[in-house]
Amino acid sequence: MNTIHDLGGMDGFTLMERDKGFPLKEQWERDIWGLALALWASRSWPSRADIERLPPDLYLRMPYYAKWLQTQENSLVNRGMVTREELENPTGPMQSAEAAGIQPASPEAVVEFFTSDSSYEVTATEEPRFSIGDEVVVKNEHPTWHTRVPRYVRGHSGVIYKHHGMHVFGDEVPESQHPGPQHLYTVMFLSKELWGDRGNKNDRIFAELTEFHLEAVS
Amino acid sequence: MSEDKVSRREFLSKSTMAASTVVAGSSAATGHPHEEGDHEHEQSDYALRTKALVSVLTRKNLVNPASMDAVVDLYETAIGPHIGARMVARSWIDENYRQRLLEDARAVAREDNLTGIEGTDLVAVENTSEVHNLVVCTLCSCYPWPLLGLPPTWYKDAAYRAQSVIDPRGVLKKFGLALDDEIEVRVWDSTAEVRYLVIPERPVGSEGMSIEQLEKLVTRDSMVGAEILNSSSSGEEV
Repeated sequence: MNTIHDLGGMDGFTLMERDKGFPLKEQWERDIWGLALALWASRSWPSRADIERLPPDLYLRMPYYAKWLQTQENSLVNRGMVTREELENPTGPMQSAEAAGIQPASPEAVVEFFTSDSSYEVTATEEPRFSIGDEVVVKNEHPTWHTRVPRYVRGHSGVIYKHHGMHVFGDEVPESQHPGPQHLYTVMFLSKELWGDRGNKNDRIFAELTEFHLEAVS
Repeated sequence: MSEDKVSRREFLSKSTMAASTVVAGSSAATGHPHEEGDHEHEQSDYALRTKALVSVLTRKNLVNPASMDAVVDLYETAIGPHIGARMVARSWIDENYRQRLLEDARAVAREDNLTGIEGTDLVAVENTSEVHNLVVCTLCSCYPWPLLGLPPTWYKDAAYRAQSVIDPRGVLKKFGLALDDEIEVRVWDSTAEVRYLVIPERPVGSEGMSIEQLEKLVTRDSMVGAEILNSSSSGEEV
């Protein structure tokens, strides 16, 4: 979806100084992050689209982990695992969550989950359409769902730089339109191709894009 | 709890519901959940809401609080930039290792049992006198967790995500890196599940150092391409 999370190329923001040290500074940040990861290890995770659907003004104003908190609340409520009333009165009566079928992951299972091999590559079921060096164009598509194609590359031409094999498809397309695993490529774009006069003749931008989003240049 | 805080909290929760309605896709955004300013109030609201969420999920047996502590501890102590620093230092003294890392970093990480969530599909790129690499995630906050731990705030901030692809030299200049005009800047936008490790240039003056000494020179930000190392830099503080 074309909303504020797709920030590449926008002007007007002020760069902050580089912060040092462990990024979880406040206790609540440690707690919401720990909670989100413990739930992830129990296979309960809000989608990227949940964060992207935050209203743009909120998205920009909220601290990073507050977005995690807000999307966890929304996602858990929308899936019926908790109610707004329970969150307002956490010591009050609780509905059973047995129907959710979630087994809370043990500390050992959580550590195992986050340190396991978690490649997104799958066994290739078809030959790749493109080879290293091929010129390609990124399709000019503007889906209303979560996509891994930033706006700033759409409609632009680049060159296949690297092939990563077939990967799980990351766009959250409606089930009926899901293309299944896709060959994944690193595509190289000239800075001038993407940014015109503001580009630099010596600079290149690389992005991972799938066959689903690319067209051959004839 | 003060009356003021109660009313703020009610206000907040109504706005949260408004936001969740938007999430469900049925209405336009209404109002702002936070008044301008008042950082401390915001922080205490987030703290209260987090506490409530953890409490409810614990009571419903949907989460084990010990697992929350375990995963924070994992990324605060066991996994972090010291892992990437070890790989970088080794690549400086072991040319064969460096070449294998550049050819197939995932295979090297697998051999060394350094795989994990958010960064098994790994690519390493090297900074040289001719090329400078910079890593970003314009859409979100993708970052090589198994090698560098959690992304710093600046990496997730809107300004860095917005500007690094259109004006990487401007960003690097503000970070204190003056790059020669003739150097090629390569920006890697982590749009899929591939994660990047930048191998910074070995600092001048580090000749003859042991691998342990070299590891300590490698900072977290240098492995994203946001810092250039010198022989008195220290990765200790990252």
